[in-house]
Amino acid sequence: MDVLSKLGDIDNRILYIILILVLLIPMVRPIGIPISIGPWTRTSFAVLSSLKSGDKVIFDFGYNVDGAPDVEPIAQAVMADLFKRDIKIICVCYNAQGVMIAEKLLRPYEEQGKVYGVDFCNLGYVAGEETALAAYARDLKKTFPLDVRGNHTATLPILEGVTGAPDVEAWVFFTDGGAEPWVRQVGPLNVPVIGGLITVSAPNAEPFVQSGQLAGLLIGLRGAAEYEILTNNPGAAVAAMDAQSLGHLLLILFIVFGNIAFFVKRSKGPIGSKEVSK
Amino acid sequence: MKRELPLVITALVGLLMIVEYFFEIPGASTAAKEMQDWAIIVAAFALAVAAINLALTHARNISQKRPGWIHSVLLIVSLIITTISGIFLGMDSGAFSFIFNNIITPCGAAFYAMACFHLFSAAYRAFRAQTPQAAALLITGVLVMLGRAPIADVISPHLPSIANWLMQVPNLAGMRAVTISAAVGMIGVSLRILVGIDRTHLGIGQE
Amino acid sequence: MSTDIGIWTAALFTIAAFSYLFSENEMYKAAEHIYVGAAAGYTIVLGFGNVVNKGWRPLVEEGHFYVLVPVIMGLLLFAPYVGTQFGWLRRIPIAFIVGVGAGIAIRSAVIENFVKQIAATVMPLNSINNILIVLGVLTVLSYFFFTFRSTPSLKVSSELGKWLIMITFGASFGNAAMGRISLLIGRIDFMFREWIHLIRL
Repeated sequence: MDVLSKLGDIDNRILYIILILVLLIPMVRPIGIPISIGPWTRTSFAVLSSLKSGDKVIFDFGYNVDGAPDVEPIAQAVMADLFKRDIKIICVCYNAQGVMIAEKLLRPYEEQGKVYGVDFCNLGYVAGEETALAAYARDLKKTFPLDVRGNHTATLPILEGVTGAPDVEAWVFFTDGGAEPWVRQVGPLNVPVIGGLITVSAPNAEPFVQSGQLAGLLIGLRGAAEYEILTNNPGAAVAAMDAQSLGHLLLILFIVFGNIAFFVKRSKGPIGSKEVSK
Repeated sequence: MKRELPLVITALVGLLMIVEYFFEIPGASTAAKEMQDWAIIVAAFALAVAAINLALTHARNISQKRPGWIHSVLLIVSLIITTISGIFLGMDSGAFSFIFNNIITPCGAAFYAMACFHLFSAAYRAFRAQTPQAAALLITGVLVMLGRAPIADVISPHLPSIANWLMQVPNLAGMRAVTISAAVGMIGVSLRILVGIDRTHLGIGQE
Repeated sequence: MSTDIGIWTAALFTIAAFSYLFSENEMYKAAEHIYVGAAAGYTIVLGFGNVVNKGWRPLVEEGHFYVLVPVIMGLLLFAPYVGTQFGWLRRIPIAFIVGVGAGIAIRSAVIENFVKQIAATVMPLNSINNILIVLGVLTVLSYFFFTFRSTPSLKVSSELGKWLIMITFGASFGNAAMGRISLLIGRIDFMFREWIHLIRL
């Protein structure tokens, strides 16, 4: 009982150090826990793997740097896969920080030989969130007269024949918020919409997958790891999965231990009654 | 005029956006697209207003030497340096990229990641199954977390299936009901705004 | 260990941010204020770019004079700074943005969030899962009927709905916890791979 009480009163800082160690150790010394593929990633992969060389896909960056550790690995995995298969990527930004995030992700491919304006482009950001999305989903060139590099979008070869969402083969958005703006504004436009979501938002998006309004979901770091495995390109997301597993186990252990201690204490009577009677 | 004009603008513009979507009226589609474009331009100015408000508040802290005014100096200096480097040197300049990649990105990520520490601390001290429904919540959460971790396959091959089932059946049902209810709420609030019953966004107050 | 000044800067800001976990201190407050200032500056840069590309350029270089209307509306957002007697002018651009936003929200929500979601719930009751989904949606919706007279059947239905909501929130909690762990893994990866070189891919 005393041991339980003492463990229950442990300083928060010790808990934090335990957490950091539990996450760090498997990243330094990987365990190699096998990763199975979930149904959402399989569906998204099926849609994206049906695309052919020369097809055009819109990448919509709707996350901030805050949520990047959970969402950006998805963008990296999908981008690597599509560029390997010579699929063209048109980047737009639902969020302001998406502009710099997109540029950071695209730069290595430009250095490897992908040509701006032909293989990819970055149209940038316009203010207005869902209002802006409603506008650029229908008419990219009118909403973005210039791209982030100052080029007139009407002259970019990659945008030839592309006015809005119906003219591309897929729309993939990455967000640390909800999927609803894309479901409402892009979904009705006859284009497969795939969402790369932060794990927190995944439950809210499930109804839209079942109803067919979203063609697929890629959920958080786990979704990125699964996509890396499916595309035979294991990277940082796969490397983080051991830490993810142990982190989950530690959290469950804390919840279970906390509840055991609580119920044992409660079964002994009201808190402090023994101290009062002394 | 000060009260009525904004309400008329809201109603007319909102009505145009709705009518254009559901009816084929010549000119309505073009007008609606133009209104969307105008909203984007106005929203661009609104971006600056928020930041300028922030700067003015902290400038007042400095001028009145309120407690913590030194931090306000840091804020204003960092705001000015970022703005100048972005506007005059360009967003692709080394200075602006440095600020974004090495100040904004790590700070934003670190502040958000702190929630993980608080989560673990709360799990240890506060997540208690004190009622049957709280127990149902905790057990579902634990099963989903366990099932979605790669280690689930090692513990039991059924765990991932259980987690997937929880997400795709009960969670789907609950979230769908919440989505439908939220849609009804959104439609109600939007209609109240369009007909001028709800005026709080204009600082006028409700009827 | 890294010798890149950018990485060192990022690492020091990360340590300053996390120092709050041990106690609130001056280093944390400094990092917080520098971050907020930089983020606000970033927003101003984006806003300026948008105003130039969407407002100034079409107006001055292409001669589209109708763009003067939204530009003037945008400038009216700054009216209170000119004088308190002009504060009411700010309502005009706000009313415009809210009107467009509300119109777009209603027209899309009616079809996508309401009609299509109800249509997707109408499914053949030929499996346990389908039956559970349909019953689940109905019972949770009945839980939200706060203004209906409480009949015995509504009580039973809303009680079932309450249990299902708890399961739904449990799934949300599980996902939220997973997401937070991923965010911390991201920071640990940066600190111990890019800065200290302890983790090797």
